[in-house]
Amino acid sequence: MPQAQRNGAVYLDIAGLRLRVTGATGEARAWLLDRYRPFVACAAAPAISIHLRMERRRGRGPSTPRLERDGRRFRLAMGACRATGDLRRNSALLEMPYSAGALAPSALRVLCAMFLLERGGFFLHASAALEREQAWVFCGPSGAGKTTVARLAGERPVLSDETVAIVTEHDHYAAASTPFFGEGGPVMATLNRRAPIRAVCFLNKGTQFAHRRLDVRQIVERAFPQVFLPKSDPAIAAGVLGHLVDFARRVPCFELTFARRAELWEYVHALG
Amino acid sequence: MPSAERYPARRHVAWRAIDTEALVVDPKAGLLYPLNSVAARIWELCDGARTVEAIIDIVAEEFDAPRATITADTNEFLEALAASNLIRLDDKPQRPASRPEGREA
Repeated sequence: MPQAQRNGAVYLDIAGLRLRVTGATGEARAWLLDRYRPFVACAAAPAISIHLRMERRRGRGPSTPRLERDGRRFRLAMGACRATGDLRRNSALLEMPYSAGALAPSALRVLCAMFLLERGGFFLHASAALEREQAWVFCGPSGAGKTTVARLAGERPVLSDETVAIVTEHDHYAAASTPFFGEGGPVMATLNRRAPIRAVCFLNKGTQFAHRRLDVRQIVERAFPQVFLPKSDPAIAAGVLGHLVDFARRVPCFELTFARRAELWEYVHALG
Repeated sequence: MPSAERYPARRHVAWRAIDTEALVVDPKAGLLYPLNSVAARIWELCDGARTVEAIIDIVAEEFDAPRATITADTNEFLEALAASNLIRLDDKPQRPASRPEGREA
């Protein structure tokens, strides 16, 4: 039996964040192992501890997520979930209703995003697929065509159709898969892989193919709203902005208008 | 129109200079406002140590436009920033930071 399943804790590896999740037992723990199956890892050297406190009854919180940072600590209120975290100690406590599953993906995504931000990375509202061990990332708001592009990927491995982790790796940026899938469903989150980024395309749906290269300001302007984190806290917003400016200076980015046709990938190749 | 003797001071919001332009986060909405080079320069000068009049003097010196146009545009921009709660218009000067927080070292 893998070590991840031998004791009470569940170990996950999401975009290089090694998580030790405690507090889930019985059905909840089984749900956790099933929901995050491709990301279940061995117990070696977990870096971040997340403790779940599940309550049978819990009132609703704010519908718009509220996230505040105070030095190295943060607080999150999101629907019926509440969390506190400590970025120095690499730990978080998540209180949530039992009915939401053992670990609500939307809450876990925010927690992971806070720890990722500390490490120079962020979660982007994007799909991504690999070709020749390089990642093409396709970013945009809901309805922009992220899942459509992922479905057109054919044999190319899909990292995600909804949430792509952008991580720093040596001297470059890489894209990593996440368990936070979109309308394509769980089939879009079956891999746990990462690869250097070839390019990022900000999507527009159209009837023809067209593209243009974006400058740094244009990239940051487009990417900022697509970073998965509430940004009303100035310290968090400043962190996101700083990472995005660096990212925009080092990764080629395009605005891509695309038609829903298989030629998409031929067109994309011409960009690079 | 803000009084020429007031001291515009940026509130504690995230912003970043990109070459001569800038991006400012509206914390209430979590949205990003792009500023062109003139607006970015005015924003940077809103350090609480300069009056509106002093800011207009600097902008008029650095940019090639009639002073009347610069005065009107600066006042309009400062008014918009104050209405969005991105700056305060103080009666007294503050000590400026050694380096604006949105500038890279």
